[in-house]
Amino acid sequence: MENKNNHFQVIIVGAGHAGIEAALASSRMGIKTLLITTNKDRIGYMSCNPAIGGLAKGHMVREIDAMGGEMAQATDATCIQFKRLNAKKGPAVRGSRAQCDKDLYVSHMTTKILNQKNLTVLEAEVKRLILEGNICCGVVLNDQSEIKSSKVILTTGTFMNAIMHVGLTQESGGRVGDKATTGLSDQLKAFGFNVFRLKTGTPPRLIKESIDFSKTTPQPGDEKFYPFSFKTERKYELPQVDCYLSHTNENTHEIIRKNLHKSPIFCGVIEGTGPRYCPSIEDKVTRFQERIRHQTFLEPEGLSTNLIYLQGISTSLPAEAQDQFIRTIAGLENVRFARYGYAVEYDFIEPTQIRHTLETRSIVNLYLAGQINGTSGYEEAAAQGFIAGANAALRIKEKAPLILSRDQAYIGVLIDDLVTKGTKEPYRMFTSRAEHRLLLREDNTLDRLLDIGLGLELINSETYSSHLSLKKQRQDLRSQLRDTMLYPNAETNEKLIRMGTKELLKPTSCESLLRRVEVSMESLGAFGIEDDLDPSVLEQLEIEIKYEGYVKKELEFVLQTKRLETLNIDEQLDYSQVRGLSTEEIEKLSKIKPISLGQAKRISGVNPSAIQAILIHIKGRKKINQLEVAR
Amino acid sequence: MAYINSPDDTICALATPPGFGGVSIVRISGSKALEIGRNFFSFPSLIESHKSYFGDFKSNNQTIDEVLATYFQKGKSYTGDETLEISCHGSPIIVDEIIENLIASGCRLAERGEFTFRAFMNGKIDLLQAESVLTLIESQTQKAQQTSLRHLKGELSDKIKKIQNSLQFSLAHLEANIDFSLENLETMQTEEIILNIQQSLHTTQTLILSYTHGKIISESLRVVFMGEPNVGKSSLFNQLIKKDKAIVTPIAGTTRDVLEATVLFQGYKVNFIDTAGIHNTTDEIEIIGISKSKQELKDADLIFCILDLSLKSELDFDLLKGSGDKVVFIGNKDDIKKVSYSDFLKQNLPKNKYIEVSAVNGDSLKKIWDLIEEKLKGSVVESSVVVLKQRQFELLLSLKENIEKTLATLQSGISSEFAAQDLRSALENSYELLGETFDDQVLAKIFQEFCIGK
Repeated sequence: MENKNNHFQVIIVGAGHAGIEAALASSRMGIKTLLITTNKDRIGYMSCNPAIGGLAKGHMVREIDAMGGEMAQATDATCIQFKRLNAKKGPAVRGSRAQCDKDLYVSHMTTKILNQKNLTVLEAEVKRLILEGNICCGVVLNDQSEIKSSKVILTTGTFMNAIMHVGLTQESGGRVGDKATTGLSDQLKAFGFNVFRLKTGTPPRLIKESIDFSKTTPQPGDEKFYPFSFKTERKYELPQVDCYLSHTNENTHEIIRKNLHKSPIFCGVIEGTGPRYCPSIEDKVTRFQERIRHQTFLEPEGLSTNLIYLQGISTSLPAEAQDQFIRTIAGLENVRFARYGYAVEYDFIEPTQIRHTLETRSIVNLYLAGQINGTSGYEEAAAQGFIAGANAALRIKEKAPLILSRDQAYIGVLIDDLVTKGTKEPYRMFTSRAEHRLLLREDNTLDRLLDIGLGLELINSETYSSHLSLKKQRQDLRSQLRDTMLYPNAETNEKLIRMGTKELLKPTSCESLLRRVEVSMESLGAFGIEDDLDPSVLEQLEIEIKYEGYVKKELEFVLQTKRLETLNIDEQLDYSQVRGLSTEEIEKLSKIKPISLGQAKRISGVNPSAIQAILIHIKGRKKINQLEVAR
Repeated sequence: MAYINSPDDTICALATPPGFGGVSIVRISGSKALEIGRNFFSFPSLIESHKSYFGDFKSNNQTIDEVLATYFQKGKSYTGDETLEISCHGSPIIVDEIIENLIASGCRLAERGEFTFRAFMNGKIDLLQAESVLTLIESQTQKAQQTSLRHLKGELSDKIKKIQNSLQFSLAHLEANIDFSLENLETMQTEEIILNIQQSLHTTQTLILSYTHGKIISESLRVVFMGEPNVGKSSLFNQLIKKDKAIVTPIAGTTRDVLEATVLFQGYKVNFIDTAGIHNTTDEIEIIGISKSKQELKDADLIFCILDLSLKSELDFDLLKGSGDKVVFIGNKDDIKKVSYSDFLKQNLPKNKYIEVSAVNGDSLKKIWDLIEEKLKGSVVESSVVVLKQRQFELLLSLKENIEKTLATLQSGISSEFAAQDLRSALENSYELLGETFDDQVLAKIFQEFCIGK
């Protein structure tokens, strides 16, 4: 398998969550692919928390699944606790999250990768890219051997020039047990890329047997399972486990404050910016002094391991401080540590330097995906990996690139945000980042993206037609609801009162009845509406009917923005020639090279007047061109 | 606006009123302002911004005038572009000659509002301020000028920004409740958010109400005289405008067309409108006049319904339906009144809606002016800032509508992402008002406010 002399079409550097999806997408699209990792035992390893999904993140996992990616199936197969978050809120902002067995997740992914046709795995460290001018055509390994390829995708995660910090001691490495990689980011920097530092942290891992769980509150998962993959059956594969809730207290905070001078972040040893939404406990205690406690979840890392992940308590204080403050938390008085928490500082490439396809602007055939682009989270990484892998393959096949729009998928929002706005801290997806989120729901993922999966040949036609038949069921049921009229008589009204809703005053269809807050699809069974269909059909139709007004309004918003989104800007446009732009605007526009006026509008620091100016310039240009053609 | 197609041009125009005067100022603005200026005036090679230079404005070695030239460097001028202001003697001949020379040298004559448009394009002022510049220039009364100036200084913009901030704040809390629902955040509860949004609604409503006053300021207070023929409308009209503009005869139906005259009163423009007497007639001209009278009632801010106290009125009072608050009844000819009719009116009309006058009596006029003053004062709302423009008014109406929708959605108990949709529309209105567009400011707010863990 490890025949280095082979010529590969695509090389992927890194076998984390981004690398896996890139490698699988590319090889499954029939492209000869090589995946290079420094540690073959950690393919798809969860370096931080043992969970996949969450608000907006769960959406992305489903989106990857609909296009033919792997993450959803791996999650379903290894899920040991499932929750639908925001279940009481509206359908657009519900999100799925699963705790996974870390080891099983790795073995699931390893099996998939090793058995994948067209895909070769190599354990090595990539030191350099082979560049011919501004064209990338392969990689150089640590043994100085060269491997050629027509595309290279870097998914190096937190490993480039990575330093781990525990208190004031530092060690080279991107994760406990794995060394940092050097060479690549320096080469990119030398080529002219803006390379900056980011920081992330992870909490301690504790030994299960040393915890007194009786002092904590058990947090069970949901009974009802909504698998991430539409291909998975709606039942748990593995036994389900509880997590446990506990809290810090004033003592904890006191010890943390006393030790702040030994924290690498507070002493300025770490320069990289950390994620605001995932702050260390040191951060929380300092920034929110009035809070007397912070919550922490004790999460099992798997079924056959005794490791407990201490969610919410990421820290880089010295070991002896961790020993002290962790033991002030209820249930952890006598806890033993398997690993202390630590911070990691690493290089990332400022993402405005890449295109929507994830290919870099300045080096042709080089793609970047995952944390190297400044994101955080397994799901954000996987989404980019998939898009990069698919685009590299599409390019080789000389097909149109895959660019998802902001009203089509969270992944579209993710990539557009990265390449348009860049990021100064690890970027995490939120539902509020998606201005059209009412359209981007978990329930309608297949309607949004299965076509794309089919087009990429990552979804087979059999799967596709089974989706079409479900869609047909949905349409039929809708007609049935519309045609079933209820009349205000004693029998009907009695049923309605039992449902907790008002009596009818005039004949009403089941469809309009369903728009009432108190009425559910399930309860319509009382009126002879078919309810033994696939649950996904019932749920999606209920949402479509109940929230139709809001969805229509959202579609109007999309139409309004489409005008600007479809006004394309030539990549060669010389912004210094556009009259009425400030120096700052010229600089930003020239760097980001927006593909449309809509994208230009989203660049921070570009004023509305600038959009007007570009529009005038483009239109003026067109006139001149028309005149020239006329002559 | 044709000029937006040629933003590269250096433009020039007379910046002071045309005609003879002490001083006239010609303004030149654009990237070549100084280069062109140097063709006619010897500036020192090292030139300072905001400094005036004295010398001759020469064309082909011939002095056109002695002028004072002020230089404003790019970024520090009104338009934001490089600008020169040439102060010359106030003669149209000199001004024309200077402008002709500038045009021959590559300038283009500026179009109406073009300097301000450039200031907006260059981000020197927001849209509300740009609008106020135009109303300021157009203002015909002290009130209009004062109000416009306050807008230019950004007082209206500040109000809108305050609403915007409060809506953003509410949105941040709504969004935090969605995206960080697991974090145990101390976000505002729905009730508090509702209170907060209600305050914005109140401010918006006050601004909307101020438009009644704003319209009076920017246009005029329209006072319409109506009534049956020969009740003395035209006599009152003439006395108030202190001119014999309307023909007054004892013949009923003398006034056939609508007459209008403007009087300045306490810094406001008051437009008096005399209309044809309303009665049943077959005279074609009179019929047209009467239908015009009815039209005037719709546009009026104040309607004086004149009644002849010596006769019992046969006026069709249904005409005043819908004009409600605007109508004041004036019993005329109180020197020859029928006591019983006068008493009837006094008993049946509210005190502040009825006065008695005599067109020949000076005291009577004061009573009328008092009514007008009261109306002007009454249109002033608590808001210190007054909305002047139709565009602002309309956007404020949709802002109000979207805020109300948000409140309704929040109160209905549906999940907050739907209220967020309405709130985003409301915010969009505020950005439109200021000529900004939406950008991602909400998350930034969330992070400032809350302690968020993963």
